[in-house]
Amino acid sequence: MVTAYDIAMKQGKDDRDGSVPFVAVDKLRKTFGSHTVLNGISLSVGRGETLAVLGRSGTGKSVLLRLIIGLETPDTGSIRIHGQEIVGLALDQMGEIRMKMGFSFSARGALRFAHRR
Amino acid sequence: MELVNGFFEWFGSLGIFLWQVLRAAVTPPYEWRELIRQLDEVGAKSLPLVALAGSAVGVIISLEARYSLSRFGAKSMFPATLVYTVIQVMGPIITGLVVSGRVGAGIGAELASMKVTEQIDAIEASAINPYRLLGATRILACILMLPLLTIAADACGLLTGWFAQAMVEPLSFHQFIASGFKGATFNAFLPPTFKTAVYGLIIGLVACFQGCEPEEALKEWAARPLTRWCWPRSSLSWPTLCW
Repeated sequence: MVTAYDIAMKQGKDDRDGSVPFVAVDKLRKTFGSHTVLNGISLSVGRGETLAVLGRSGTGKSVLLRLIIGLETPDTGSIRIHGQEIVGLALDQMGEIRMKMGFSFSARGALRFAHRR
Repeated sequence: MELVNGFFEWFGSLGIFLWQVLRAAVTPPYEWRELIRQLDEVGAKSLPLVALAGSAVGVIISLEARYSLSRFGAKSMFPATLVYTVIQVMGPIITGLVVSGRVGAGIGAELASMKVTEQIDAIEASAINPYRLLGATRILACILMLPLLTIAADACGLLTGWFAQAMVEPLSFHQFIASGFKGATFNAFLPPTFKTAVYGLIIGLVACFQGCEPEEALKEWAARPLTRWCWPRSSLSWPTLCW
């Protein structure tokens, strides 16, 4: 069955009417060597929505977030931010996408970097 | 076979890294503040050590050359021998090795610790190009500062070499310089000095590349950063120094 979400994804519509999710992950797969961390993950986060990803240690929560922010490249699958596909984007183009997003690192990397600057 | 593959993979990865840095270096916005900070780190803070090393080289050459030249009745050639040896050969080598050990290992350790503590990821997630901010500034600082540090090392080497000679046989500094540079042209001294810019490129490039390697390399080599990062830079420097 084709949903409104699928149609909106394919057409890359503007999300002013809330039809296109802000973050959309479709059939994401990521392996490190022989270890498959993510196997066909799909999710979407709409405008104004809060999504919590819970799981045990080593289940791929950080990897998923790193894929969404573009710090890792998925083996297969699609990641769309504000309707734009980010997999395969160049570093400078990705920078424009990242200006719309915030990321908090577990090792407080951003704070240390900000202190150095 | 795996060793051969690893060897070529390393150079391939280094080439890709260099391409990324070059692209980032020539596209705005430019990181002038970080570049100036790195010029101070690489140049000003290495100056005392380089000057000390150059001074030691000058004294050693003076002590060793005097004896050999005396045996062949060529004591009058001492100033020219010291000048040409220091400026054409020893000055660039010693400067390169000292900077490779101090700056290269420092850059590699700094970037490796930033990689482990996710600071580089934070930079990238903040929409700042890490190749431009971290790589290009450090490599450019090494390229610009190596020739200047070489000139400083040469000056200290000549000064202390003259002093060591003057302690044994009185020789005015003016006479020493006039005799040493007699008949010399810029062609004799500029190429050896400016080739250290290539050496700076190698030091900066390898140090930045090694510092950004994946975490598994850090686990294996964290206990001996100096040997890990000095060897590739030193081995790559030999073709440059022979040029």
